[in-house]
Amino acid sequence: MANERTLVCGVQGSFHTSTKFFDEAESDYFGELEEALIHGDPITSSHGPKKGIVETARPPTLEIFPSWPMRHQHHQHPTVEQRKSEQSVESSEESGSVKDTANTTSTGVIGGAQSQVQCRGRGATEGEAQKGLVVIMANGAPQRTGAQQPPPSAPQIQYDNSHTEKKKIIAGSTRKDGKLLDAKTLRRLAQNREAARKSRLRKKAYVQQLETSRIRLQQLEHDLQRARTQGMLLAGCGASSGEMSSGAAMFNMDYTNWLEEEGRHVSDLRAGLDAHLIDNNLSSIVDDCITHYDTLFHLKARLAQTDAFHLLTGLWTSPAERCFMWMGGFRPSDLIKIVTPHLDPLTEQQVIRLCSLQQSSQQAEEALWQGFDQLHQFLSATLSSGPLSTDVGADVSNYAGLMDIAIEKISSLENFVRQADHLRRQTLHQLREILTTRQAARCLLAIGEYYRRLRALSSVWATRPREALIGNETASPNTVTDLQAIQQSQYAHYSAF
Amino acid sequence: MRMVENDREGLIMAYERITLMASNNAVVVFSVSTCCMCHVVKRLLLGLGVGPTVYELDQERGGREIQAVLSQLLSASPVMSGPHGVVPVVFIGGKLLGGVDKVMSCHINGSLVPLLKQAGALWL
Repeated sequence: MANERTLVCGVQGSFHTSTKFFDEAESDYFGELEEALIHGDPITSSHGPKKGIVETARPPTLEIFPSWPMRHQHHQHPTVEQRKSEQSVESSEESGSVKDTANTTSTGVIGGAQSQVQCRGRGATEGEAQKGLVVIMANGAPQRTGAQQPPPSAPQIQYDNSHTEKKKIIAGSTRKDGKLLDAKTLRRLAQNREAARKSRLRKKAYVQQLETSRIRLQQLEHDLQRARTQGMLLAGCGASSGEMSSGAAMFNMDYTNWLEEEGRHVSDLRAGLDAHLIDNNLSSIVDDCITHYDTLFHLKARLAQTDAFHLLTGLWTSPAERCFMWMGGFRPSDLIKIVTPHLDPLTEQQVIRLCSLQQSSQQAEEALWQGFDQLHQFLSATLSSGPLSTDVGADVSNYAGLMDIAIEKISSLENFVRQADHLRRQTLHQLREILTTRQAARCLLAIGEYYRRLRALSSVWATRPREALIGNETASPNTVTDLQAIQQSQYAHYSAF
Repeated sequence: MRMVENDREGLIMAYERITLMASNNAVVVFSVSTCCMCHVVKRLLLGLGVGPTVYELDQERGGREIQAVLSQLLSASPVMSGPHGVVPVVFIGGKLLGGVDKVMSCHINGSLVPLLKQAGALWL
């Protein structure tokens, strides 16, 4: 119904707008027709202008609705339209569109419908077009010809009629009609195809974008994982920036390999303990493990010659390890404290020896730390000596001499790192001496597991700051789900224990 | 030639001096005043309750020769030479113990304290 109304309005609108678009020739034509109509049929003439517009405006109608691409029809069937206009007049007189269900094959009706469609000049359904035409026609038709059917029911009948007519039209009973309809349908179908094609292309592009992003994300995660293991991530953030010496970078890689192998040793130890191997076999596993630690100390000693800073600042370890690091590694007395509970049952002799070992370690550590502190004091004194002006150029010789002394002081850093490692190595060997094979196996297992947990703590910690940021910045429900997701991933971490 | 002979004489003299110095006291530490590792050894011994006799070779006459002799004495055992040379070198009971490495090892494996007691540097 609304369609009908709009159609009528549209036609009415066309009536109004058409006046704008009429040129002289067309207005002449309009004038002639109007005369004819007025003389022929008073009622019709009342709608005549409209009809006239409808009919006369057929050529220019297509221009009245410039946004509607009916141009091809316009230049395809200019003569046909005129013929149709006459036919539509006839059909209206017959009220053919109303009662002409039986006569749907008549070109007049169909032609009328066609013309209406044309004069609508848009891709409205044929049914709509017919309805509109029929409304106009029907208004006049019954009165003109003694209408067979009353107007009120006309709309319904028009509807039915239009449907059947529509069916006929779609069937394409006449060549002319079929062509026009097909053209319209074709146009629509072409548009649909075009839209679908564009949509498919867009989708394809989007999917491709997603894929590349996914790959990039995977690569970034992989790199991040590797970098984090090597501690290079925080090295980049640190004041020393990403300037890692080649020796340090190599050491990091070696350390990563060392960690992997250490994991294997720990597994061997665990398997050996669970299998209750005889002491000889287990002993070889234990000794292998200790030798493996010696390898690490050896690697560190080699790096200490060129880059003691790297070892002391702990850029090769995880953040948690680094935080509680002592002189570039673990503190021996702490390690003894960690492993002692796992060594039960201990003989009294063992207890005494362990206590004395712990005490000795503490004393040695203290002495080493004192020496290290003295180094620091000397360095501070050296660097802060002389005039502290920023203008180096003014006192180059003094500055250079100052630097020389400082460099000399720094060179003993290598000794400190090596002494600390030496202390660690001695402590491990002494533990091996004091303990039985099984106890030693458990001891090494405990050490391995402890540091593995410390490293895991670092990665768990690394995910926490993001969670805090999300919680602080947003308050949307999405935040809750994000938090839950992160918590779940943390639980996954814990489950690894 | 004469320089070498002088050097050898100096060395022999130094060696004798060392022997003398070392045997005079239960614990003798040859050190350099600015050496931080020497400070480590000193602090360790002091922490154990030992009162070592310390010779700062940068302040002793003929210190260089003593250092040369010491490095020869220590050549048998691998020792880290710091920026100040071979020091610190520790003698206990007139006998050469070694550098900081050795001192640390001995302490960790529990042999240092008995040695000190034996030399009379520690009383229970």
